[in-house]
Amino acid sequence: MQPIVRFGNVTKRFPNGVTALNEVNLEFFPGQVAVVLGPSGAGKSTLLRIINGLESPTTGTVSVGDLAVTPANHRAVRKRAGMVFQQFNLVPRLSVMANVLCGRLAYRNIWTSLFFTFPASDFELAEKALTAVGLADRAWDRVDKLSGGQQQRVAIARTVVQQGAVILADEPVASLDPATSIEIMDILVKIAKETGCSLILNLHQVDLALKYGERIIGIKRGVVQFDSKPSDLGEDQIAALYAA
Amino acid sequence: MRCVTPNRAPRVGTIAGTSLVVVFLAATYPLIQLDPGRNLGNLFSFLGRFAVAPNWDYAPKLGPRLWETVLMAFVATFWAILISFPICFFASQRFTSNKILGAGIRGIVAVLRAFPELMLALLLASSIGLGPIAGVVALFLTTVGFLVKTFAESLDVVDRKPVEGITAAGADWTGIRTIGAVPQALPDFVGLSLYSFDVNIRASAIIGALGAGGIGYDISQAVKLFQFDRLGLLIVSIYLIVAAIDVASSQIRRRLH
Repeated sequence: MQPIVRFGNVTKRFPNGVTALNEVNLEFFPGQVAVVLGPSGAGKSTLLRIINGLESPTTGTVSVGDLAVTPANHRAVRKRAGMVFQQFNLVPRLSVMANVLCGRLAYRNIWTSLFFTFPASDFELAEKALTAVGLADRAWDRVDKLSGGQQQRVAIARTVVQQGAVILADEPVASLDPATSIEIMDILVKIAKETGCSLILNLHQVDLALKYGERIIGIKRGVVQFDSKPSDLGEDQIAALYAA
Repeated sequence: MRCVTPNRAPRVGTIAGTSLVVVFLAATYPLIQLDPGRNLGNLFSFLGRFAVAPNWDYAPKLGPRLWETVLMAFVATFWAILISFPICFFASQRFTSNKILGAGIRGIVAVLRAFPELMLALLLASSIGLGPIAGVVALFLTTVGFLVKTFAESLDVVDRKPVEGITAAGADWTGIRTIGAVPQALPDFVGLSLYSFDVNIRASAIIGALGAGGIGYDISQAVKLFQFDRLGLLIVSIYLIVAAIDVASSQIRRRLH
């Protein structure tokens, strides 16, 4: 199978000298739920943000499908790779519907950016996505009036209307309570399966990783420590990942 | 008394700053020629002259004059907002397309802000001709100077996360700004625009004294000709219009949060 995301010898060094990723080689495949685990500052976020072009590698190459992730390709890459964030990253003051429609901006030109008008087909997609995450009745509420779990569902709907091939989720449940976390994880995995998207998640809860992941990747100090099925993963490997 | 510093003594900076203020205050004393007896006497005799019946025959003429003043302020503010909005993105440190261009625009608007409206109006009156247009252009230029700077500063402090969300969703250069940043800065933009209108009404009343039209000309005439029966009406009418705008703008701002 052709990988949907490919890291070729990727190193990311920040101006402050921190090496977030050190010669990482990884391939992600369509329809797979991959969970990235690792201690704080291990480079998990950087790994995801590089796929979407929010960060650029210092050396090495990243590609999404047949597209190399370069500044010139950013919008085309983002069309394929939607992103869900820890803090939801929705635009406050706008309605739920407006925020979901923002997922269509990759397909629209400057007129949509200036006058914020979308074709009827985009509204249909947004309504469908909101139904899928169970928020159809809140479409015209202001997004900042919603609870954290609901806001994350709006953010998921925004990636759904992007109709991409990958959903990147950077600590999607780290700001949510345990019950809501399960709810959001269920929705993310269900949507990835229904749309055939590859789901790449950063998590810091090992139990959630083992429950939902089809593949677990451990990262520490920017280096991949292990990359295996949850069933093949030993407790000692996880303990070593979080050891100082 | 002990100060909360390592050696319990006041900081050098605090002492230096306080001393500087005191020196400046002392230096101004001869300059302003304060003479309470004479100043207060003048004030009371001036106030005494208002003890005349208002000239109600003049009142009907007041409305159109006031309306002219408000319209001058409105036209200048409207065009200043319209021009400043697109420019502010390029003046913003965070959202400009080019740092040098941004610094250049901020430099130009700093020049516009540097001159008082009255001075610009005087220069314009002698270059493009006396009349309302000189006043309106003067207000417009000063307001552009103010709004480009303050709009850009509002953009600079918007929350990073929604902007990142919109960027990650694949928005273009414009969309990242208009959809990611503007909704967050909008209450500031509206508040600053209303404040400009408020300032411009007062400024256009002053500029009118140059003959640019509006109520300012009548005020300067009334003062020069000792028409205190008119002056009282003029002062009250300016107060009423400024207060009304103030109430309206705080209502609008409250609704926008």
